[in-house]
Amino acid sequence: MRLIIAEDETLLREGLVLVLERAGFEIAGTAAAADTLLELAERVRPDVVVTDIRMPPGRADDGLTAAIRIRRTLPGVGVLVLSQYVQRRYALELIGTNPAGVGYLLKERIGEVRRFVDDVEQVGSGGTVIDPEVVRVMMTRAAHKHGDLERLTPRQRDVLELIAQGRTNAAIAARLGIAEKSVVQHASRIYDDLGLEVNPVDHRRVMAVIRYLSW
Amino acid sequence: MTNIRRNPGFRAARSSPGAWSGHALQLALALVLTLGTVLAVVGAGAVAAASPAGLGDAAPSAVGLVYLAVGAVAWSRRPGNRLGLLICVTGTLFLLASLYNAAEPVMVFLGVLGGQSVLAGVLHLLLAFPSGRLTGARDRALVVAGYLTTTVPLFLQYAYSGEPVVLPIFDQGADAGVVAAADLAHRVLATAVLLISAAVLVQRLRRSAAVGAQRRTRAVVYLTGMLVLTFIPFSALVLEPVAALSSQARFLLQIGALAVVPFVFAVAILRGGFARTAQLEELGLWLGSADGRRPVREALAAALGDESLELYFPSRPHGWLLDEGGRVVAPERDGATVSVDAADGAVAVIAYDSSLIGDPSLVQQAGRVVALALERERLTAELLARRQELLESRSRLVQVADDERRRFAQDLHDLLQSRLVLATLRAGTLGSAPGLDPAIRHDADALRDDLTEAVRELRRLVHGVMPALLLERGLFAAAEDLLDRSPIPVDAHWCGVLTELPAAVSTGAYFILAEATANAVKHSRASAIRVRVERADDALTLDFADDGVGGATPTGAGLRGVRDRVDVLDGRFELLSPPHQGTRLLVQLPCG
Repeated sequence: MRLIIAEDETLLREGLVLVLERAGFEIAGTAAAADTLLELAERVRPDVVVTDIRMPPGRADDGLTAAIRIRRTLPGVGVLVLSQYVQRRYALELIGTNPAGVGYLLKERIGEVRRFVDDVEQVGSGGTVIDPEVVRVMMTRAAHKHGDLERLTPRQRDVLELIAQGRTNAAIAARLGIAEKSVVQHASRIYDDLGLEVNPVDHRRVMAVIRYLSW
Repeated sequence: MTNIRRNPGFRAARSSPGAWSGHALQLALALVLTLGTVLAVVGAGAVAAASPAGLGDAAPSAVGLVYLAVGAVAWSRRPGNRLGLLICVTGTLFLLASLYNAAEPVMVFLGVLGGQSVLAGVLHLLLAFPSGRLTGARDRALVVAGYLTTTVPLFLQYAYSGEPVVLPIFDQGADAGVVAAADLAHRVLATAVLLISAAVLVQRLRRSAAVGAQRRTRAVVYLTGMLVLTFIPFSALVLEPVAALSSQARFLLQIGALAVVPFVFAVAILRGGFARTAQLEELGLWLGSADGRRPVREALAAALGDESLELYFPSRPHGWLLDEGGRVVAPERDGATVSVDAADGAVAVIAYDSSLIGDPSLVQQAGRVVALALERERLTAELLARRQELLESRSRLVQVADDERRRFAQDLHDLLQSRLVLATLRAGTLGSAPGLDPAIRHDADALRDDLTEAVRELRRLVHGVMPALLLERGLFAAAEDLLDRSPIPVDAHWCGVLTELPAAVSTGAYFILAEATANAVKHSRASAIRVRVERADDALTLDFADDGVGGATPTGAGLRGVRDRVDVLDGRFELLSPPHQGTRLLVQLPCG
């Protein structure tokens, strides 16, 4: 898989390059600013762009703006945004209406190297990755907004959270230490309770859940 | 007196201090002038009816009108001084005198009474100079004696003349003895009153503490008055027989002499040395009156006759000049200013129009009379100025604090957080290296987890200091995010355009909501919060309510911060928090 890495802190950028190269990715280019990232992505057409949010030239949310632009103009390119902020709003802006090949992770997740590498791969293969912290904010908000979530069992809420994070049934099963079959059962109960449409395609069901949580 | 030509015209009656309020004065003046006009018309009618009509017959009316006009001017210019009123009264007596020419006996009688009382009126003016008020029993007795001497003998002569009279009770039959006695009594008593008055006035002039212009004015007024008063009987008793004057000529001379009187008095209190005394009296009345809330500037302007007069108050710490509202000003006029000083420094600067007031010491003296009032005003101005300064410096402090927060958040972020993330990455890389001793791998993972936790702590810290969302997405996004994180469910309503708010307002509003939420979470035990944020054209309204235990006070630490923020933005703050009925916080921030 070919990657572009955009990060303005040199040491961090080099660290990321090292980790991802070691994990077998091909680093097709690096950028230290949002505008160079855009130009580079256009030229290189990588499988995944991994980018920081806070970057030159504006030193504000330039990385996010660039990421959204890349998702719109280069549909085949997966985008994984590394953020300093637990921001539901930023994640929603990034996902837009299409949760395929997109990720929003808190920056410190890169320390859990194996999981981070998995996440990059998931985004590269059209999946969705949303940081658990951001999903938790969405869950709290949704719980305040409408009481439906109260009807779920704690286990069902765990499953819902993991679905919202973009995990596959297999990953959820592994995570919770239960059979994949029970995950499917939990999921269908959740859909029933919340009145969601069952959709077997992973990123579609993520979208449905996120829409539900952000309603 | 020589200043009279420089006077740009007497001003219209203005609201008066002391005994006469503006309305009462205008009413009184209108009344006097109306009465005068009526009398003058009646008198003119009488003159026309009489035949042959001569110049002498119209003279009393004319002089009476002159008295009325001059008196009215003096009265309106110095409402606290009674001389104007007295001049008007004397004028009325003149108008009464003009009725002498009428055909009806009652008119004739009134005319004679008026004509005789005129002299008593002039004496009254003299003794009441310069304030218009009689002081002491002696003065009062002299004035009463003056009026009685001129009228009672006349009445007796009339009653015993044997001629047809107005009312039957006046008819005492003819008695030449009584008439002669009355005439003698009139002459003797009038002379006595005149002589005693002259003595009193001379003594008063001697004892007067006044010097210079005042003393001269007093002497001129007294001399003129006494000359006129003696000239009247002198002209009748001596001049007419000796110089063989016609009685018509004598009468005209007398009238002419009397016509001078009102001008002498009016000029003396308005422009002469006594202008000052009269002014000070006005100011004294203002100080003593219940009307003391009338601004000192107006009182000074009225007393000095300069409506354009301005006051400036030196601020002691800086020496800047302040206006009444405590704003720092620079006096516009060049030159015509007078400083009023107290023992511990300047109290006020009076800027005046030097074309209206020629003598600066006049202004100085007036200022000294009201120095205490000026000092009070100066202290008020200084307080207002300091309050403004405090508000401004507080607003600057909040601005600086907010800038500092922003910079601090940015520094934490850019320097510390990326360093920590890098360390997390290194620890993670170390722990995931192949073929690592399991103990070391365990330690490396623990180190990574610690670092991850540090990153999260730092994130919470930075977020509390200044949320990036507020800077990058504005109030709505930041506040929504804030309320989303609240452990107590929040029902939020947003109205109006919340972008394009001034940065200070949007930062202020965010931290007010943050404080209110934190307070509710900490103290209210509420189960729900309702927030309404509304942007109208010129104001942002925050309405924050919880259903908790209430009893919040605006002096609590959190709410004090809210109040500070509101004050600094010149907004309004209302807290409703009755026990057990929830807490409601209403804040309005101007953002025009």
